[in-house]
Amino acid sequence: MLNSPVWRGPARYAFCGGLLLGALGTAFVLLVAGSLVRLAAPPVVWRWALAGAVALLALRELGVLRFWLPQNPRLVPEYVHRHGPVFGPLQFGFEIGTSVRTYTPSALPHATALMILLLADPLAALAAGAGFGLGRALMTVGNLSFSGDNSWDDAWIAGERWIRRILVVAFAVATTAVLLR
Amino acid sequence: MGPPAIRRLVWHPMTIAGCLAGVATAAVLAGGPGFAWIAMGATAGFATSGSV
Repeated sequence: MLNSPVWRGPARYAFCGGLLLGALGTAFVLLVAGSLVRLAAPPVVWRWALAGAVALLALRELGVLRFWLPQNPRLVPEYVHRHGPVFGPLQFGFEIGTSVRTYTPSALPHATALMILLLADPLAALAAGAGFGLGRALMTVGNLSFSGDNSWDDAWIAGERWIRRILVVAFAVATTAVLLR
Repeated sequence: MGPPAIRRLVWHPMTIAGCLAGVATAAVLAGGPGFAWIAMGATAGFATSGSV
């Protein structure tokens, strides 16, 4: 899909901007919802619950555990051609960036959502949301910069096992630092 | 950016994942909680690659 000429030029920036905005939108919703959820227990309880939940999700990501996670099991329809070279990709990116409009082949977004919901202050939610959007945009930039034949996806699939391990370690490092503060 | 081989090495998904791990570690060592949140989000965001 990213091999299409429509992803060249301003379309890619609009798409990445949409990813960022969508991720920030979801982080904001989680922050607001979390302000109510957190009233149910003291912060220390949430920290321990988060540590346990993130550990379980990390084990799922590594393939050690298998359990269902909520996700929207369908593809986002492409509006690129309907809404022009800027607003089409922007809307498409926004919907993907929210992470609630399509498949999520990883458990790490769920872990991030829980961290924002139960622990983040406004600045932390902003940082996590921006980071999430940038992480998703890295896929787009990486794919388009890697080659013009979409072989980046093949490289991902070929190294997926190790890539997921590296990402789980990185996620665990960042999460541990946040939880221990 | 550069010859194809270098470009493919730089933008290889494994390279990007390694860089994210490096950034996460640097964020912890630097002691900035904001950077740790960014690293956490970026790692989770990149992990969704393949869903589009």
